[in-house]
Amino acid sequence: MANVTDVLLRSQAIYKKYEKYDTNAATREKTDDPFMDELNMVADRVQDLQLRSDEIANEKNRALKAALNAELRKTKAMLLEQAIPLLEKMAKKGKGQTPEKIQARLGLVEELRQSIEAVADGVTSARKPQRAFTGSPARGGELTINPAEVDGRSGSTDYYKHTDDTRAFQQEWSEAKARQDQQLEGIETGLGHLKEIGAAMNEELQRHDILITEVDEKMDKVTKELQTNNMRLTGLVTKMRSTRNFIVDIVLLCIILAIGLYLYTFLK
Amino acid sequence: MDRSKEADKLYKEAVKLTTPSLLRLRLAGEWEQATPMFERAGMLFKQAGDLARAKECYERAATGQERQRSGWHAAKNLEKAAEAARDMGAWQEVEDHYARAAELFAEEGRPTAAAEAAARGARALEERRPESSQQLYRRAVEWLEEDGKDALAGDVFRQAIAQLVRAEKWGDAVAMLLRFAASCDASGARNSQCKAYLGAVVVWLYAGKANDAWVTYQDSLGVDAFSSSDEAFAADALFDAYRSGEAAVIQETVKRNAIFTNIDNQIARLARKLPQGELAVMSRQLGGDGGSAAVGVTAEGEEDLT
Repeated sequence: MANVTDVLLRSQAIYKKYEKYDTNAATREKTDDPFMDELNMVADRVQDLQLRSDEIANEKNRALKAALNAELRKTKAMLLEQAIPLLEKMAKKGKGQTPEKIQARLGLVEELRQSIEAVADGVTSARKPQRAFTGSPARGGELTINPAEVDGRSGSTDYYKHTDDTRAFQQEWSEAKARQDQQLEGIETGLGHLKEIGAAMNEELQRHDILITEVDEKMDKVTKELQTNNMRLTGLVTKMRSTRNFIVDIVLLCIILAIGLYLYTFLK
Repeated sequence: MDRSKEADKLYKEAVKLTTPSLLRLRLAGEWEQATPMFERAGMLFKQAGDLARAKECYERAATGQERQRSGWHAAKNLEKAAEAARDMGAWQEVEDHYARAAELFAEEGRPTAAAEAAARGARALEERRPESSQQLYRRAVEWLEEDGKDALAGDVFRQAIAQLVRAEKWGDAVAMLLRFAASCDASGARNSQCKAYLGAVVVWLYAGKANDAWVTYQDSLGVDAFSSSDEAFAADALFDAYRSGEAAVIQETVKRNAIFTNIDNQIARLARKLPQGELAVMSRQLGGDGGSAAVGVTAEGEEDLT
């Protein structure tokens, strides 16, 4: 049965055996200039990053993509913050350096930095959250004015002035509205809690479902083994009970009783 | 304490059996007989309260089982030894034993058990050795991912994230949160997934890295389950509050929205302490105007009210 740990261990063992043939590890040591060594190492890592970024682009699962992108960004930030300043420091040291050489080296470092920043890490245009349900309900209920029902009353300006009644009514209405708003907010928080509890229960039950299925399978195996053992035991017991063994038992018992009787009479 | 005496007797007997001696023509130790004696002695020592010798007995029992090629039992014995070491306070040994026990489980082809052993070890080491604890948590998470048992991974992830947040390792905590979200995606646990994404945003904002928070948020909006969830809207409101650049607005947003209290406990505590860090800088990073009050911020992040 293939197991990743097994494969890993075996491949490590095989690699150790044939390590001396690995040309990759050897070529990097050729130059005795520490700056170029460091530069090549960092360039290798940048290539790795680029490969990873390409792989991520092919990944279909969005959640995995988000997680891998975060890792990529972390490595990029680490390279930019640590490796590049180190390279810049090393560029200035070293024996037999002329100012032109230093400039050339700094130019190489700058190129490397730009290539690091150019590695795509999944940052695209701004997105906004959206509710999942499809479009808003159809707009209905337009206001129409039916000219036939218009009577003379609305013409006079008095019609629209406040009276005491209307003022009281309006106040009552606004108070009732405020109370209703308060109650609705209470309901909203309560509903929010209920939703949370419901969702948490849902997830727990899903987990338990998986666990119970596993226990089920294991119980099936155990029951089968128990049944086999039971069959074997009953077979053994029937063999033990066969008549031949009985007779041997009775004969031996008689002999022992006879010996006991003899000793008893002998010692009395 | 006759338990201790009996245990002592068993122990000496077992040691005699395992040392090679020419007298009995025994060139290699007889581990088959010695191992159960060691196990029994270890248990008795533990009951009698003698932890050092209990630990030693369990270690020898584990070696015996390994010689007999029974990795499962060896790992179990190592775990018991590690527990004894933990009660004694020998932290290096605790780490070694739990790590070896987990490896043995993995070699036997039981990555779930390995992950459980590693998680237990990490739990024990949380306070004294946070680095090793984080390492063990990472391995536990890898084993669970390899086995595909994302349903069981939830607890391990939560403990790991809580530990990283306590240790203030923001980058690692966010990475772990995103891994948790990926695992929830695989097992279909949408609620935990959305909470994990919101948690990641909060952690970055707490660490003062608004850009990273925004980028993580954008990434996670690509996931369908998150983009239509309440948590996404809450994060959006939080970003708007940050863009305004005023601490009062941010605190108001966090308090009013019940969602921030429903996320994981440690992260909810962080959310309540928002905003942290240089508000004006973060607000400008997000595209805001640095706050209408535009109070100058000194190097320590305190407001310069002169």
